[in-house]
Amino acid sequence: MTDSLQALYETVYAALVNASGVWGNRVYAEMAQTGAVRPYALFVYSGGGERNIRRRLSDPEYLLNIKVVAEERADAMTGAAQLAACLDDKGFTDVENGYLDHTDWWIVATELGQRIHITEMVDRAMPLYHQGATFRFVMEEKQS
Amino acid sequence: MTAGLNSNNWYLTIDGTDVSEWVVDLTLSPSIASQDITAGANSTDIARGEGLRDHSLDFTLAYTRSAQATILPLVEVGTHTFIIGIDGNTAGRPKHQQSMIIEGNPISMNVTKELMAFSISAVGAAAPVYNFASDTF
Repeated sequence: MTDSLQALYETVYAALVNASGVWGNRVYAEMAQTGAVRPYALFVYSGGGERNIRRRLSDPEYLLNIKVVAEERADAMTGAAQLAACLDDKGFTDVENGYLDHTDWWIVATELGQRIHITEMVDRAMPLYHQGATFRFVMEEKQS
Repeated sequence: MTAGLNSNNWYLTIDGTDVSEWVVDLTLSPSIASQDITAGANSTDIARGEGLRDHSLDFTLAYTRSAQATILPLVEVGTHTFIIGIDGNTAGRPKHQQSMIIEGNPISMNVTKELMAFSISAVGAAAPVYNFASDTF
């Protein structure tokens, strides 16, 4: 069975690549590659682990920081809205259709949380805009 | 000294359906009433005797979409047959079987997406068929 965090990464990656966001298909886990074309989407583990409220079932809850990195503020903010549209309230128990899914895991519920709003100065004072949010993913092992 | 039990290896069936995997917590509470049997004109201390015995059961049952067809009829208010193994249902482990009345089965929801679960309260409808104090699987 796929590791739960790996499964979540796979699911989020697939959802973002297929979302037609300002990031196109430039989606990175943990760290963008050197020289990555902007804007791009980036997601990184922020916290979480097992909830242990279901007997003998793995039931993790993870927080991921997911953001769009762009050279234009408008692109970054548009991207943040697209992230929310793509990932918020997209769990199996949130919606009847179009929920995030994985072969081995239920993505039970997803939730938009704290905002990410960072302006970084790079390359001789060029501003780089990071916009996104911390998303909560409640998961549960699928039983065979 | 041996280790105390720190386990969630319980066993619970309602009307013959094993619902153990959906139980979040469970409390089986035996009780007995006491009654004043003080007699005699010169009594200085109260004497009590045993009254009627009773059992109540409180448990939380996770609501799952995939199991709703199974769970909902089983937690309907009214009389059901419960078999409870506080330490599983292996031969030799304590067994409690009793007809009980589910008096309430509220389910709570909240906007922060916590686990949806029934909080079920049941009381004995008759004497236990098996009493976990003395009977085993």
